Amino acid sequence: MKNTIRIQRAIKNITQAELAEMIQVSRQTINTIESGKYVPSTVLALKMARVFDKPVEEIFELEEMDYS
Amino acid sequence: MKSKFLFPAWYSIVGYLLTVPGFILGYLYEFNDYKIPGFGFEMRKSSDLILNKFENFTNELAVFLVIIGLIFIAFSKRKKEDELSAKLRLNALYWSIMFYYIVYLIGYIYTMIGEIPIIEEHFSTINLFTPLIIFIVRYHYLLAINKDSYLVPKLKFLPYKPFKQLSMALSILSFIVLGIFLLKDMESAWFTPFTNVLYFVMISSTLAWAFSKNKIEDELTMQLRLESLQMAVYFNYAIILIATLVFYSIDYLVVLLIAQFSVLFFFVIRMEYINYKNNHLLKTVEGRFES
Repeated sequence: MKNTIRIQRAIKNITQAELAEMIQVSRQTINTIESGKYVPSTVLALKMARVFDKPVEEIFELEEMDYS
Repeated sequence: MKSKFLFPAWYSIVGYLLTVPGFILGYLYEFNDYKIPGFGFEMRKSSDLILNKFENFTNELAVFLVIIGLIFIAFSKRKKEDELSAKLRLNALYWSIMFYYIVYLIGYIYTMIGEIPIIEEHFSTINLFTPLIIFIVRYHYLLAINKDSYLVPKLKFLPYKPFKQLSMALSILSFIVLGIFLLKDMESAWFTPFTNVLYFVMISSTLAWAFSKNKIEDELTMQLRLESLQMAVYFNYAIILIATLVFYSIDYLVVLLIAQFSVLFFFVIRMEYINYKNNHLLKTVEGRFES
C-alpha cells in the first residue's frame, strides 16, 4: 500500500511528532506507517484523514501486491 | 493486524496425525513405563548411576511427535487467514503465555515447599506442552464464539507507571545476581533457598515486564506483540527439540530449565530491540529534516 502522508504533512505543515500527538499514537508508529512498513487500521486511517481534511483514498492507495 | 510466520492450512491435519499417537506413546512411557522394544542402541561402554548403557528413544520420539504436531496445529493458517484471525491469535497467545507462567510459578512455589499435589513429579513433563495446548484451546474457543459476532475480548496490561521500569530493573538485576551465583558454584548454588527465591523473582518480574504497557501503547505495539510472542514460542520449542536430540539426563534438565524462561526473555528482548530499531529510524528521519 502506498501513502502520501509525508506530502499531506508538508501541506498542513505538521511534524511526525505533532501528527502522532493528534491521533494518539507513538512517533515510531507514524514513521513506520509513512515508510510503508506498517498498514494502519481503519480507525487510524480515518483519524489521519480527519487531520488532513482529505478522503482516505487520497492518503492511502492500494497496490497490486496487496491482493496477493 | 497481520499474521506472519504461519504454516499452510493443511499442516493442521498433519499436526493431529502426529500429536495423537505421540500423546498415547508419551502417556504409556510416563505412566506405564512402556518402551518400544529395540528402539535404541548401546550409547556407552557401561552404565553408571545416571546414564544407562542402553538408551531407548521412546520418550524422545513421543516429545518430538507431540511438540511438532501441536506447533503445526497451533500455527497453521486458517482457510481464510485475515485480520480478525490475527487478533484472535494475539489474544490466545497472550493467554497461553500468561497462564503458562502463572501455573509454572505456582508449581515452583509448591516444589520449594514439597511435592505438587496430583501430578507430582510429572510437572515438568506436562509443562512442556501447556503453552501450546492453552493456545490451541483458547484460539479455537475464540473462533467458535466469533462465528456470528465479531467481538474480540480486549487484552489487559499492567500500567506503564510504575510497573514497566520497576519490573525491568528487577528482572535484569535478579538475572545478573543469579548468573554470578551460578557461575561461582553451579552445583551447590542452585539448591539454596536464596537462589530459589531469586529465580522466582526473576521469572515473575520478567512476566510483569512482558505484560506491562509501553509509554504509548498503540496498534503497532499490538502487532509487534503478536509477532514477538509467536517467535518466542518458536524459539522456545526449537531449544527443546534440539535439546531432546542432543542432550541427556542432567544436561537435558539444565536446557529444559533454560527453556522455562526462554519465551519471556526472547519476547522482552525482541520488543526492546524493535523499539530501539524504530527509534533509530525515527532519529535518522528527524535528523534529515533538521539539517
